[in-house]
Amino acid sequence: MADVVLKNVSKSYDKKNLIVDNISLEIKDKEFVILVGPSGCGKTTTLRMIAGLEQITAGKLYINGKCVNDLPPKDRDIAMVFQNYALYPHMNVFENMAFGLKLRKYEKKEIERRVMEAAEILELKNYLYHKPKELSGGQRQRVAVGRAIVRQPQVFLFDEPLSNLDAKLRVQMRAELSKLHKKLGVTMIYVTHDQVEAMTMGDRIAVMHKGKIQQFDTPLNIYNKPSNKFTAGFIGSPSMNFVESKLLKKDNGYFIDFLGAEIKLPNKFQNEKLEKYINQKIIVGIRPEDFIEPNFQQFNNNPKIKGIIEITEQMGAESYYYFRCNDKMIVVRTRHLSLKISEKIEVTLNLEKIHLFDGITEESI
Amino acid sequence: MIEPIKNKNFYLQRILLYIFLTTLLIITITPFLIMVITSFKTTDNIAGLRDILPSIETFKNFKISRETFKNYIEAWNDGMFGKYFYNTIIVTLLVILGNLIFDTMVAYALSRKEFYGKKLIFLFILARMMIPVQVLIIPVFILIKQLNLYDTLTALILPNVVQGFGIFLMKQYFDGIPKSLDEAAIIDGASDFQILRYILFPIAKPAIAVLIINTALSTWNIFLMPLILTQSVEKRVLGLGLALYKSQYGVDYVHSMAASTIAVLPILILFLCFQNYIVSGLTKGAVKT
Repeated sequence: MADVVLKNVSKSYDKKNLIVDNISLEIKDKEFVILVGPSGCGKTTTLRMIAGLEQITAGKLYINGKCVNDLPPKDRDIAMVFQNYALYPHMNVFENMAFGLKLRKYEKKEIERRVMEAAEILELKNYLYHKPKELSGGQRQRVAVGRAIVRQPQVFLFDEPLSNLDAKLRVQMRAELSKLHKKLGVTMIYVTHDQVEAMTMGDRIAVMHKGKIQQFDTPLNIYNKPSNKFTAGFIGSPSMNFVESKLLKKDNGYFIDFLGAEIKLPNKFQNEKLEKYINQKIIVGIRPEDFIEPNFQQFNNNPKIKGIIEITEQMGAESYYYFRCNDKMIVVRTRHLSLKISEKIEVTLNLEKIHLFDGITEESI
Repeated sequence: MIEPIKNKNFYLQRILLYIFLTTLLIITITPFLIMVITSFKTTDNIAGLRDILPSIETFKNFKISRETFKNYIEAWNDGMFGKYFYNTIIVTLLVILGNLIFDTMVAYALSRKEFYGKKLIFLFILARMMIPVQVLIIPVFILIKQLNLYDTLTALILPNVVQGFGIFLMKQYFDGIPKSLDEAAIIDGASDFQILRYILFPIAKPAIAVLIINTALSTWNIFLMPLILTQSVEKRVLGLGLALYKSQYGVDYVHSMAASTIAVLPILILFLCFQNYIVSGLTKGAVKT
């Protein structure tokens, strides 16, 4: 088993634009790390560099303490599961899984033992002599995983492996992959653009944007303490509400101008860190789920915002209401299901849950 | 089942189409029929070229008996025909083998590798396909002569082991195969040669069938190259041998046609074997799935 370390790694195809821009990551042994970010953020390129399918333009990559920059993929002791599975269409399930072992000249008995073992884990025993075209999406996905398992590599790499599956199967496979990680106890690096996958599966998440790592932390830390506006907006659904504001200082503490109302910041923000932002533009963020349900009386003294509902999204157990307040679209997530478009809505801010960001750098304050 | 409504025009179009296709079929098949029918006649039946054309009499008197096959036996045993047949098989098999190996290797590089001048090389290969063999025959002759290969079967094999059409065909087919399969194989530990041998080659079976049949057809029928590049009777191939088929009594149509029928048979059988692959190969290469 192995740890994976990226030190100041960059990738450029044309020597001008950096697809991956000077990233550093330390992935511990047996850790399940998720690289998440929007399309084109460089997450797949990073994974492909770890796999050895892309040359590293600058920086160093270490697997198990050994620099592998110039090692071909077959010598890195990694296995990869591709987005489109990449199963060999002319080979059956057994041959697909055994191919890597055959190339490495394993004995026939050993190949058979390992394939049967993987087939047992992945419940593929009844399909060993089926061709990939005769399998369902979920079964193909399992064969792709099986092909990785049989090699018993140091590191597993997954490139958006669930994106071709339907929603129900995706949830099921998500749980199965997490179970597999625990069972095998290996290092896994998983690329996805789906924040739900990232939050539910990973030990740690690396949020990427424009070729850079925005934050590398546990899922809950990323959710509760986003390091910048991008991470705050990317993780969580619907996205966090952002309102441009101004920080004011008065005798009894710091205040923010929030959609026309002057609101005193709670005690946790009352410190010297805010000193340099006085009278400066800042960004206030609040998650849709961090507004207080109207019937919690004890928060009646908290500031409120109101508007007319423009869009409603009924999710069954909860609803998302989009309304405009001071020309700014705000979304609220609530268990109140009865409100309709054009109705008035008034919500209370949970000031303990607000986030403040630098108005220029967008870094968390 | 709902039948679509068809108007008079539809049927008229159909009738005209069938007339056109039947005419085309007759034009195509007549020479073959004449060849086969003539091959079963006796030398006495044919006084001149006019007797070759099939008439009602021909069909009336036509019957296959053990005696009628004697033309074939005589043609086979006569002179060097067996040798020509053997030479043609050797040349064709080796040219097919060469094309299978080298065309696919060049196509793999052009489809999968990035290198300087790749597009230009592909353009040259395409341009080469437009140059007829008649234009190339003199430089090829000089080259073969300088290599001391004149009047050998190698002279017929070597210039044909890589062909533009084969490279083009295989490259187009490989382009349609997802690159992630190669990458999966690379991760599995495969080398370039192993990717070609174990992944792309088996997937490209339809294109390979087209490559085999096309190479076989063009090589089986070569005429100009052996005419220029060989001299001795022992080095002749079928195409040349048939053209020069003469008996001591002048042009022997009966035996010549029997020999031609024997010559056509292997390629006809090959075509029938690969027929299904060829159709799917031609369409699959054109449309990416």
